[in-house]
Parts: sequence; C-alpha cells; structure tokens
Amino acid sequence: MPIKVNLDKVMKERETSLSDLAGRIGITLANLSILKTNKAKAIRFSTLEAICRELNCQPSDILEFKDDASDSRS
Amino acid sequence: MNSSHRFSNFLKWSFKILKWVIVCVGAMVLLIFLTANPDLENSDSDISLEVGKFLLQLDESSYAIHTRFEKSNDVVIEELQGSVKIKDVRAADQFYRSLKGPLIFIFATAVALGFYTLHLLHQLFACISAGESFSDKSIRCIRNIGVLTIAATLSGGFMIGYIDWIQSSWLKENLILEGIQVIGKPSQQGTIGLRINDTIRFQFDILGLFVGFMFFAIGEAFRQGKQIQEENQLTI
Repeated sequence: MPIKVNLDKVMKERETSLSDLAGRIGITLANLSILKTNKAKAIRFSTLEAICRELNCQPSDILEFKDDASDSRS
Repeated sequence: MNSSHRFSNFLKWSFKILKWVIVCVGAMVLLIFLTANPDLENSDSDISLEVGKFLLQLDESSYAIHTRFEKSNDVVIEELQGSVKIKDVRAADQFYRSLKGPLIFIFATAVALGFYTLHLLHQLFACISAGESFSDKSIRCIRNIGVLTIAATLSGGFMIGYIDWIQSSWLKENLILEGIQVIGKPSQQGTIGLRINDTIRFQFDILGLFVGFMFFAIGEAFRQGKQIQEENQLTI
C-alpha cells in the first residue's frame, strides 16, 4: 500500500511507548500494533484525531504517501 | 444461541446424517446391481411388451407408435392390440449384460458425487454455525458445489442420452411387431409401425445449470463479503 504510517517515528520523538499511547487514546494494543506495522487497511478520523491530540502532531507527520510503482521505475 | 444459529446447526447435522444415508443406500443398490444376474436366455416367460403400454409410457421418450391412416387426422385410437417382441432373446441377454458395467460405473459416480456434495454442504453449514461465514473454506465449498452441479448436469445429460441411444439402436434392429390390430373410431384402413429414434439426444436439465450458476453467484457474493469483513476488521 502506498500510504505509510510513521507512528513509530513520531512515538520515538515523543518518547512514548505503544501500550502507553493505546491506553491514552482508548484503543487496544493489538489494534495500535496493526496500525504501527502498516497492516491496517483504513483509519477512522476519530482515531487519527486522538493520536494527533495525544502526540501533539499533524496527520501528515503520521501518514506519508509513498508511490511504490514510481520508486521501482526510477 | 439465536434462531438462525440453531437453524444452521440443524442443517449441519441434517447434511451429516444425509451423507451417510446416501452412502448406505448407494452401497446397497450397488450390491444389488453387482449380485443380480438376470438370465433372460433360460427364462420361461416371453419378453414381450404390450403395444398399449408403449403408447402410454414411451410417448415422450425416443419411442413412439407410429400410425398412418388414409384419410383424416381425426381418427381416435381406442385400443391397440398385439405385442412388440424381441427377435433373439439370447442376443438381448448379451446386450443387457454388456450394459451392466457402464450402468454400475454411472451409478457409482452419481453416488460419489452426491456424497461429496452433501459433504461440502455439511462443511459449509459447519462454517456458518461456527460464525465463519465469510471464510476461504466456505467460499471454496460454495464454488465446488456450483462446479459439481454443472458437471453433474452436463455429464448426466450426456450419459442418459448415450445409454438411450445405445438401447434405441439395438432395439431398432431387434424388435418385431406381432399381431397388431388397431381399433379406431371411425373405422379406417391404415398402417401401423414402431418408430424408434436412434439419434443421440442430450437431455440437459436447464434447472441444474441454473442452480450451478446461482451457486457461483453466491460464491462471488461471499468473496466480496469476505473482502468487506477483512477491511472492516483492519479499520483502526
């Protein structure tokens, strides 16, 4: 999928652990792990809003568009 | 446990029982097929078929009593007397013995297909009652049932047509009409003969094909359902 989740990078910058963030935004550790490892197919605006609020960041800090096809062509 | 869950559980067990019933019945009939050995050659009774019965039974198949009268079409045949006999009983005996092998093969294949279809239905309802309706296993079951239904319809139509053709071809050469009398109203002079259709006719059951394609459509709907379920599960 060309959308990449940079949650681990932002979490590292904020020095927050996965379980701590999961508890603060009110989703399970398993679901947050799916999001972090890029296995999620979609993200709700409410989840994105909660993550941005807790990590004090913008959606663009967490989500990144990376075109795999153009990467492989170049 | 809700009512739909209970119903799918009931169907699951019904198909489990049914598949073993079909195995038992199939095995019994196969045993009868294998052990039965009709001795037409040494039989005392004449092999004769009443013309009247021919008219009634074989009207819609490949046999038909063919009548031709000199005048009009409004002759009402009240009664046909006489008999249709096989020329050589020994040849008939040999002919039906030669048909025994293919018939046993066709029957055994039909029983095996029936058993496998019930097995697939049992697996499908096991998946549904376990709450895994949109799984790879259930999709595979539905698609396989569709393939089996279409294959059974096509091959069954071909087999029936082929056996019918073999039998008709043989009967055409070996049947004789004896002492035929036509009692008609009004009384007419005419001729009567036995017409046997000896061309291969495939008897495809359109309903079987329809059911097969319906299973394919349901399988496709389940595949799409699985995609939606996966997407829903992976939405954080």
